[in-house]
Amino acid sequence: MTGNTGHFLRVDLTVDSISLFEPPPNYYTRFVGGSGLAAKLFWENGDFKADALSPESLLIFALGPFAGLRLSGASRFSAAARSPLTGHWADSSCGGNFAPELRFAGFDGILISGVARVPSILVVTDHSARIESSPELWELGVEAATASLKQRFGRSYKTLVIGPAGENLVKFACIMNDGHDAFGRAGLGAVMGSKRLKAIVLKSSNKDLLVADQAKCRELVTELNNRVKESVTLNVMKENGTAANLEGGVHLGDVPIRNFTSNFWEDMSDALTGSTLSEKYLIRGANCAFCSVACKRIVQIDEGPFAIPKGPGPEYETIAAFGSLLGSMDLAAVCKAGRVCNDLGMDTISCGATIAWVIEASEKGHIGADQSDGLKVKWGDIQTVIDELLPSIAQKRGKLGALLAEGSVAAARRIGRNSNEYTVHSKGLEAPMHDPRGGGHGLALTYSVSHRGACHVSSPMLFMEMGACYYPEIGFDYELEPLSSENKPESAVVAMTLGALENSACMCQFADREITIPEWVQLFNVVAGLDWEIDHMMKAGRRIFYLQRLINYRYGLRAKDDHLSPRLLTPAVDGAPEGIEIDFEKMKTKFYKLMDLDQISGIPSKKTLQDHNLELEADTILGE
Amino acid sequence: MSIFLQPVGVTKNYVDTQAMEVEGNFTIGELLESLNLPAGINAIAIIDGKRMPGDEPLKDGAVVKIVSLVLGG
Repeated sequence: MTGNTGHFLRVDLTVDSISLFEPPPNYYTRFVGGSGLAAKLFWENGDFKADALSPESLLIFALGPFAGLRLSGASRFSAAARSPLTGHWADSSCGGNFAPELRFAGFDGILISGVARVPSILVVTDHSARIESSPELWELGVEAATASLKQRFGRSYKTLVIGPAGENLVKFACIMNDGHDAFGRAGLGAVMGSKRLKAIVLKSSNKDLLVADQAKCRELVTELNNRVKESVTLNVMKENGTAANLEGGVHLGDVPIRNFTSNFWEDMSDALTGSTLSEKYLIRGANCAFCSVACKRIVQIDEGPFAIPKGPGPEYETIAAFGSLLGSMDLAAVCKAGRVCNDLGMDTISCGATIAWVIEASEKGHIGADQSDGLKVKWGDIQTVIDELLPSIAQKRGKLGALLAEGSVAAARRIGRNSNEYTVHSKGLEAPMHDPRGGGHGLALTYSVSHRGACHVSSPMLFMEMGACYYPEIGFDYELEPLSSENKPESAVVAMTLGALENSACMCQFADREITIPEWVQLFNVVAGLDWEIDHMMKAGRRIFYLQRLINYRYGLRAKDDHLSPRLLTPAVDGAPEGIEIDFEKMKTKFYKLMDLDQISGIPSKKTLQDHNLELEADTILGE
Repeated sequence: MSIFLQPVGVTKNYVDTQAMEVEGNFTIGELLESLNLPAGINAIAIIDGKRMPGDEPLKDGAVVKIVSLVLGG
C-alpha cells in the first residue's frame, strides 16, 4: 500500500489495550481517508445506541492519503465521532504538524473507545504506542499541559491536548494541536474528555512517505507548490492571514454582526481586518507542515488590559466570533479572547455564537438575573466575556456557565420563552462567520445539507460563489452571482461532492483552489497507486456524502432537519444584501432531486446507493 | 464625467483612492475591467451601500467602492 500505511491503532482505554487494526484495502479506495474513511470505520465499528460521552462511544482520528507529502495544504487530518453538541455524526479537520508525523510513525489513524480509570495520555512512536496514566496533567490548561508534555518528552513531539472544557464535557470543547491548531467544531474535545484521555503525544524517527510513482509525484508536487507560491489570493493570506479581506467581507454583508442582526459596520471593518492585525500585533506568520502559505498568525500584545505574550493569534473565524458577532471592534480583546478560549479548549465559533445568543436573549428579556447569576453581559463587553464568562463556561460554574456549556441550541431549549429565535445554526451546530445572506445564497444551501450542521468547510461553495474556482470537467463552469439562487443547486452538487473528497483527502481548502480536477486525479494515482479517472474520483466523493447521510439517518435525522435558523433566511436589514430574500426551499428541492435524495427521509434510493457501491449499507437501512 | 474610486480591503493593494475621469455611458463592468486587477482578486463595485450590476452605467460624482470577493475561513 502506498500513501496510506494500511494500519490503524485501536485503543480501548477501559481495558488498557492497544492493538493494530488493518482496514480492508478496499475501504481506502472506496472512502479515500480522513472524513470518508472515518465514516466507514464508524459505520462498521461504532455503537449507534451509545451516548456521545459514554465509554462505548468511538473517537476516530484519520489521515488522508497525502499526509506526509511535501505539498502545501496536505498536512491536515480528521477527527470524527458522534457529536455531544448535535447528537449526530461530526467530523472536524485540523492542520499543523501532527498528521505527517503520524503517517511517518506508520499509522493511518487511531480508533479510541472506552474510558481510562485515571486521566491518561497515549504515547505513539514508530510502529508502537502505549497508554500512560498522567493525573498530574488533568485540570491544566492547554498551554501548560502542552508545555509539560514537551518538557517531558521533547520539543519535537507533536501533541493533541484537551483543556478544562474537554475534561468538564463542555459540549463545544475542542482538541488543540500543539497549542495552536484545533479540531474545533462539534465538541470532539468533550468526547476525548469523557474517555479521560488528556493528550496524545507523537514522535517518529522516520520522515519518508512511500508513494506509488516517485518521479511523477515529485514533478506534480513541485508544479503545485510553485503555483501556490505564486497565487495572488494565497499571498494575500500569507501577508495578512485569513482575515485579510475582512473589510471587503463587511462591505459584501458576509461578516455577521451582533448575532447576525446586522450586515454592515464600517468602523469595525477597519479595526478588525487582517492588515490591522499585522500592523499592530503580528510577530510573524506560521505554517502547517510543508505549506508555503503560512496563513496562521503569531501575535504579541505588550500592554493594556488585553496584553498577551508571543503566541498563537486569531484567524478569521475567531476574529469575527469574538469581534463583530459580539459587537466589539477591539482587536486586542479579540486576540486575548481567542488565546483564552484555546487554553480552555473551546471552539471559538460555537463559544462566540453561544455568548452572542445569551447577550441577545438577555437584552430581549428572556434571561433573568436568577438564571445568569446576576451577570449582565452587553454587546462589546469582551472584558467580562474574558474574565467571567469563558472560565465559567469551561468549568460549568454557576447557572450561567452550566447553561452556556451546553451550546446555544440546548441552552435556548432549556430557557424556553421563544429564546430559540436568537439561535443561529443548522442541525444544532452554530453557524460559522459567513452570513449566507451576504456571502452567497449557495452557502445557505450547503450549510443546511452539511452532515455536521452549519459548516463552511463541508464544501468549497464559498469559493465557488466568489469566482475563485471553476471545474468545467465536472460540470461547474458557472459564473455565479452570490446573491441569487440561480445555478446554486447544480453548483452545490459539485461542491458537496468535492467537499467530501477534500475532507477525506484531508487537504486544505485554501491551497486546494490551485489544484485542477485532472491534477486531483493524478495526485490520487501517483501517491496511492490508484487507477482512477475523473468519474471514479467523483463517485468516491458522492459515496462518502451518501454514507454520512446514512449515518445521520440512523441517528434520526430526516429531510426536514436540512434547514437553517429563521434568522439566516430573513432578509438582511442593512448593508449590501438589504432586503434580498434567499429562495431556500426552491434550492433545496432542486438539490434533493439532483442528488436523488428523498424529500421526506433525506436519503437516496436503494438503486442510487447500489450504484455507489453502498449495497450493504443500503440493506442495513432499507432492508434486503 | 468624474467619479471617485475607493478601494476596500485587499483591493487597496492594487487600486489607489482617487478621483477618475471617465467617458459618459461607462459601465460598472467596464470600470472593473479597466482596473486590471490580478486574476483571483475578483471584485465588485458598491455604490451607496449596494452591489451594482456590471451593465449599470456610472453616474457623474459617484463614489464607487471596489471590493474583492476574496474571503477567508
